Amino acid sequence: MELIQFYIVAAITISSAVSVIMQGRVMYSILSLIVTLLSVAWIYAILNASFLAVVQVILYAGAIVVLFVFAVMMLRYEEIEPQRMRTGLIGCLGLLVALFFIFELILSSATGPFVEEATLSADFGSIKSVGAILYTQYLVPLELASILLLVAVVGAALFSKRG
Amino acid sequence: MFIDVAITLLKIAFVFGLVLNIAGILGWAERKQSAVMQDRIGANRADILGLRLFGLFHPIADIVKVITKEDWIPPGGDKFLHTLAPFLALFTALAVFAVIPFGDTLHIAGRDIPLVIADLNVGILFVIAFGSLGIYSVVLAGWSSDNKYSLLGSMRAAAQVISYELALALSVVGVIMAYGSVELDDIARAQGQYVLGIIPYWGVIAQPLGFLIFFAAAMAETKRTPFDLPECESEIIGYFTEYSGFKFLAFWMGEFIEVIAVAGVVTTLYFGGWQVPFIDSQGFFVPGLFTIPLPHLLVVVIQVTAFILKVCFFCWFMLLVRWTLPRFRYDQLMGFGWKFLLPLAFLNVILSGVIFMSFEG
Repeated sequence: MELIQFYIVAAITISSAVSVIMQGRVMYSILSLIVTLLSVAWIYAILNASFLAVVQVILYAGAIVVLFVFAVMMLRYEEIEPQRMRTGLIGCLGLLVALFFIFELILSSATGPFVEEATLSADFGSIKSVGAILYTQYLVPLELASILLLVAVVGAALFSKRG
Repeated sequence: MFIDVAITLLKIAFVFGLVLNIAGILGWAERKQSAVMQDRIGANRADILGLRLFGLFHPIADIVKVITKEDWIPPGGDKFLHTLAPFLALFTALAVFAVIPFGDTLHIAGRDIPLVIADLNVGILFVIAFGSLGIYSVVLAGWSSDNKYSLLGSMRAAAQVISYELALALSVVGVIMAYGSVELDDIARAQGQYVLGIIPYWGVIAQPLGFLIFFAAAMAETKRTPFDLPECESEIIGYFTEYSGFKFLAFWMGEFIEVIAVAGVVTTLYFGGWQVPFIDSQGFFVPGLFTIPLPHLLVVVIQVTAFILKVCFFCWFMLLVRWTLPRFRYDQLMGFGWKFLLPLAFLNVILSGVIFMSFEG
């Protein structure tokens, strides 16, 4: 049952991710991206990481992609871009990055620690357990990340004042 | 296995039947309410065989009218997205009801049935997630209409929804602190306690400021007056100008369903959910004096009825607010959200933290 569910979600994720780069129209690319992000959230939910799944929906699908949509709405773009799959320097760089990630994926799946029947604690992935780890073991990285976000917010406010 | 599925389907049928019916009646109530407040008679013409029933047949007449209208898609617009947008609005509004508990656990024939469709351990975050997904219906509707003014309307709407989401989410933090859980079921159950033995420990007692912030921000999320700049049905152009027929009705119903969703969440977080003061699983009691035992089934029925009545009250209250207050100007709207509600929500989080810490310590 879980396996069937996983294969369905994985198929949706990959096909929508392919659709993001193959679509001729930018708005449909973005919609495919939303589907990809939502199905990744579904995978998290299958893996019992319900908090991560919800945060994925709130932050990525609900906030970040909305900014993409905003930008597309404001820009006047050609109805069908003839050259979405660009060759040249950028294409080569993209290929290089893709190859690097494929290599990394193979490497980690060959050497990574896999457990056949992993047992989870009862509150695995719940907000309480995630919070407890974040605010004890990973307190310093968390605070540093929040300072980074604060800098970004102040920067955005500054730019809007100048513009 | 089979019975579990049947029970879940029954719960879904109960909740959705209830929500859709209240949404239909709200359409009538809104007109009647505005008429009463403006000293008019209001919707009273629809009749079946001469029976008028205060115009209660108007929702049915509306549906017949709307379904028989022409379904118009702008020629320059995007057909697929233009059709998708209204249904997204309905879906995101309806999905919220999956996690709202409408009664205490029902014990029947040796089974424990929690009266909530999906008892997720992310609770209130699920509500916020679907609230934030609701933006897409607005944005896509404006964009796919191929109309500059619809596009501007949807930009206004998206900016408003994003802005008020922050205050909304922050005001919920206080409730989570007060009851120590994000699960709506736990929050509703924890509100059965009593302060000083007699005052029900409802969210509005624990979080009076949080309630006001939440209610204001939630009203802005539903895009109703005084926050109805995105729509402005009465004069300027909003994001669903290019919609007609059933798709327009979908937006309209979506708005009413959002109103019910807000009423449901407010009830659950701040007004005890299904709790009725001085009635618990044992029966009716007067604190410290006596208890009158009531059968379990009766108690559950009373609690579910109480929940529905509370939801109806808040729906009515939001209609009342709508027809009382004038609309904000756009800069006032943004200023109110970012410079007043958001700092107030931060203050509420800090104050609640200090107060709860000092009571515990």
